[in-house]
Amino acid sequence: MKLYDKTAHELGIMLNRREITSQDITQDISARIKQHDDKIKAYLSVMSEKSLEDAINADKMICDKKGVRVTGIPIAIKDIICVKGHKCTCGSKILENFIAPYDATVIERLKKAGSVITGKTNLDEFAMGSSTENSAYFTTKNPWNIERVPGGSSGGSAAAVAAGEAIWALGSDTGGSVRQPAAFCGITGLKPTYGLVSRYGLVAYASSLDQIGIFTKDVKDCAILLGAIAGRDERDSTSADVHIPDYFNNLSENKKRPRIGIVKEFFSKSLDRGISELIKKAAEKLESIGFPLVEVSLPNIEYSLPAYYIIAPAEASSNLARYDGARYGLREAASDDIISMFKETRKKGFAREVKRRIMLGTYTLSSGYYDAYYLRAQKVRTLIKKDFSNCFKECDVIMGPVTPTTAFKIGENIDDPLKMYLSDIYTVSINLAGLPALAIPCGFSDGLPVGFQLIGKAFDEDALLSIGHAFQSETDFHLKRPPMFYD
Amino acid sequence: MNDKKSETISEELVLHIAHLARLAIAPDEVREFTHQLAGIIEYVNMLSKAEVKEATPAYDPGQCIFRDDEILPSMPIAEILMNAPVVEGNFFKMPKILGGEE
Repeated sequence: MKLYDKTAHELGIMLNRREITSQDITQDISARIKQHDDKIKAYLSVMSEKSLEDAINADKMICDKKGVRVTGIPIAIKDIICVKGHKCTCGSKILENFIAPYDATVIERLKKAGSVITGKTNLDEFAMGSSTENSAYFTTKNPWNIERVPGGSSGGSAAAVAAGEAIWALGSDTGGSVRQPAAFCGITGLKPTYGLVSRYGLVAYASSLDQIGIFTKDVKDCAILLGAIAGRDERDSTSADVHIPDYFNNLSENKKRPRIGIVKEFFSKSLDRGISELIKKAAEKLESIGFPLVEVSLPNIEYSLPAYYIIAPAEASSNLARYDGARYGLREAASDDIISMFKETRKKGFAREVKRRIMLGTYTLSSGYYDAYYLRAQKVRTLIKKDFSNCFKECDVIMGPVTPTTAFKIGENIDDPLKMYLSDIYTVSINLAGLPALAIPCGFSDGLPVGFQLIGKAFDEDALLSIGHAFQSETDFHLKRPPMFYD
Repeated sequence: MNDKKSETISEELVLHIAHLARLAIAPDEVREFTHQLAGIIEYVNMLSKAEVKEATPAYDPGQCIFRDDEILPSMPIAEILMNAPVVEGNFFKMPKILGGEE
């Protein structure tokens, strides 16, 4: 019945009508993973036995009429979010055998709602990267072209959803790590407003930028999953105390026609022509549906990438200081003095990109450099936030590209860190400003997927989802599937 | 203000940074890291053009978030020690801290 090819909302209807069971879906997904993951390599660990147990539990919940919209639906989890009793490697050798002693809040909520966890997906080490090539284990392939990257850092989750190895998935987005792989893999990806989704149990990379994000086949599924994980959590002091709307029901309720701002600075020479054309076509489609377009400006946007590559590594250098071999993870026991133990452990356990960012962060925070770099970058961050606020006086939602190119070849950028950083040029400003953004497929360039993103005011996910849903009701890009893995 | 940003990144500086970050780097890696970090720093130096005079830094959360001072169960010791590399009793066993390099 190709259940792996259906959306969560379609499967939900079938489950409620007792046409299928969660075990049917889960077995279909398990078979799919067995059949294809040796080629795609989306998963670091597959939880076959556990997922079947979850499915049995979900079927019982549905029988007892206690099911909710996420019940019984298989979900893949980026291996940076803790699932109790299972390995959480963060794509690193330093946590190769680390077993999470607790569930992340999002996992607790999903388990309580009867989700089925398929396994932990591959990522760039500690979420630092834009291609999943920085995983200490292996590189995930893009299901649209296996010589190309799926994007990063949440490449495993994106590839799993694109290839039908999970119905939906969680990732994390610090500088674009959900939206960029969603665009590269032709699926829908959401970075929520900073503070909307609890970070408790998300291993920290850059604490003022990190957010757990969502990968789905369409916007309807995105609305469902967001509703299941969003909301205040006492254990995350940055978690916002806001009312959580019924995102799914609000999709079609919204009769308003938000104004869409087109940022003139986004359409520069660094944007691939094929992508530029597709974004413009998507904007025209939105206008034809009835969303007015407005030209807007973000004057300081060119500073967002340098500001990000000062702030994020600075925060990372602090967050990754805990990996010292003392209480968990790898310990290099060769020497008997503590400093050597720290140094050798971290030398062995971290791969190059992580070391690079730790050193960059250490440098910009160090005495004599702090004012010129970190302090200045934080002031620039304020300018960027102000630019967005000013924009939102002229429009309700901003639209733009996600990536400057389509998925690049595996190995193409790996030796040039700065070139790799430039793939984040359209995504990082949103993390700096703490705003929500939704990436939606809008076509193909040279056979590879292209996405656009909608950027909203803080906590206005409703506007993004309703515009995205309207777009997907009039287009079929989200229905396309990678030919190598679908007949 | 001790503004050293115009200095280029030297290999000595990279070794010093690595020491601060408690990272050992192999001799063959030092040159590569120095070259790459210098390139990144040159790129982020573009921020010197930004007009930040009137701006305040974005890191002030504005308020402290507290919870009620009530006793909640702690994580069980077995779980805390579960991933420990070396354990003695209920303790993480560590190399000597005093009388070491610093």
